[in-house]
Amino acid sequence: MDIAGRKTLTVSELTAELKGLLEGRFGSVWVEGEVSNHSVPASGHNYFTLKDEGAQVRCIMFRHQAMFSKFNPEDGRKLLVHARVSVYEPRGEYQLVVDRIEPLGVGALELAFRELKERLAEEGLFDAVRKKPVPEFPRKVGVITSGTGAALRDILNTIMSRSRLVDVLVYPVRVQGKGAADQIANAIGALDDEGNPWGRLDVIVVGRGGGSLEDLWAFNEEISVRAIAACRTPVISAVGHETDYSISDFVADFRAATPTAAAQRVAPKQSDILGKLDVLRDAMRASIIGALRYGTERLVGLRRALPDPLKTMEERAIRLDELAARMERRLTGEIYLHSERIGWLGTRLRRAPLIERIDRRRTVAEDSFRRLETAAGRRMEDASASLSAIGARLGALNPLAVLGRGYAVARRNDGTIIKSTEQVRIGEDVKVTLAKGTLTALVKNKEP
Amino acid sequence: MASTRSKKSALNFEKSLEKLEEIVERLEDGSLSLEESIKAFEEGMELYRRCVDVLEKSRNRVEMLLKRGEEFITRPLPSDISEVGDE
Repeated sequence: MDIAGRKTLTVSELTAELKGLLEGRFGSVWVEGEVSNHSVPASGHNYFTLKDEGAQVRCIMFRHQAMFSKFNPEDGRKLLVHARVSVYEPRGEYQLVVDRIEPLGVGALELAFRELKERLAEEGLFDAVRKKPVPEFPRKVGVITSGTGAALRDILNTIMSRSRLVDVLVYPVRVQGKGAADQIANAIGALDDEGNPWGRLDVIVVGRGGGSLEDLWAFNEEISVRAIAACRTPVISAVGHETDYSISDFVADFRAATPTAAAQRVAPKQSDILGKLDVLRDAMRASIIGALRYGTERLVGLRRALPDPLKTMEERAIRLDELAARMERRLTGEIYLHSERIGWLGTRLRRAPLIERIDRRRTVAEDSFRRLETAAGRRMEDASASLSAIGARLGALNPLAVLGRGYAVARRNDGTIIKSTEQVRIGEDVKVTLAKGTLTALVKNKEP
Repeated sequence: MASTRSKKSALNFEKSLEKLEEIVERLEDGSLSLEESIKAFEEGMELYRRCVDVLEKSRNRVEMLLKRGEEFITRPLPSDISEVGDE
């Protein structure tokens, strides 16, 4: 109290009270606005102003928060921030200490879409190898969609008009707005759980009819998308129209362009299946008829090739009788012929031309030999006669035979036969060969 | 009981169809003896009859899954959905 009796406060006291009031009253708030005056000094903290047409507020996002934020403040960007209201006493300012930033507006959604899609793609959640096959003839189908709305009606009508095989378990959820993504995630978890009243399902369809990006947003949120990825039952994603692609579509095991298309996928037309069965039946019949026909033909062929055993037996019996009869006739009637036959056979043998021929040949051979002998002998005689004659003549010509008549052969010392006196000198030795023996003689005289 | 019926038919239908296709393949293959062919044919025709039977006798069942506290219960769907149309 001052001297006038008024209640007074110091600046610090005032500020402290303001601080207490503001921070107590607001705690943490979500505030949306447009960014301006964004700066990041050396400290790494983000300083910016969030404003709208009527007012503005200073914001600070500390470095350790800003580092993990997907979205960054940029001048001109519209943001939604989660912050703590704080009074900074030294400057007498109130500010927002921001811990989370989210984008606002359609551009922001698209940005968020792209960022989540990239992140999950990097994790491999969209990989083809993760996709489970959807059974061709599912019997138990789970459907997660709005309990009201055209999508569910279209799905059920399509299924029921095509196939009686399919049973459908519907789990109605909110498909847009607050909490939709959570509900979708819970629904997937519940249907995937084998403990549910229908047990294990064959496939789960999750989707909704067409709408804007905001309407479909629940199917782009991380919580619902991760629930699909974690689901053990095959999931068909059927969100919006043909041209709408949501992250659920990328992560699901199969994307159907629309809820109706999903229904067609899970419910093959009964008439088609029956048609297929008939085709198989006809194929079997054709095969078996073919096989039987082939087998029959072979059998007939074989039978024809085989002689009729009965006929054969008969023929053989007859022949047997015949033979027996003949044998009997022989035995009784022909024994007496037996010896006659033998004699007759003997005669035949003797007069056999064969023996005659042998004899004849022998005679011829002997004659020939004799003639050969005679001829040979004669020639021999002739030959020796000639030989003697020749021998005699040869003998007559033999020089030694001349010597026998008294003649002698005179030779010089070198062996040359002397035929003329000119060949020798008086006083030379000469050799003289006689019929018997040789002489060495001296030439005493020669004439002429 | 509902799930056991479904489970049994589910096991039968798709597997039966697969088995049937397999048998037709073997028959057309031509590698079976006459006796084996006859046996396969009989088995195939039995599967065919069973599949047709399931198709003709089945009726769609549609239920809603609702959470009551911690439990899940099923409730048949309100009948403003159109009836089964025969092909």
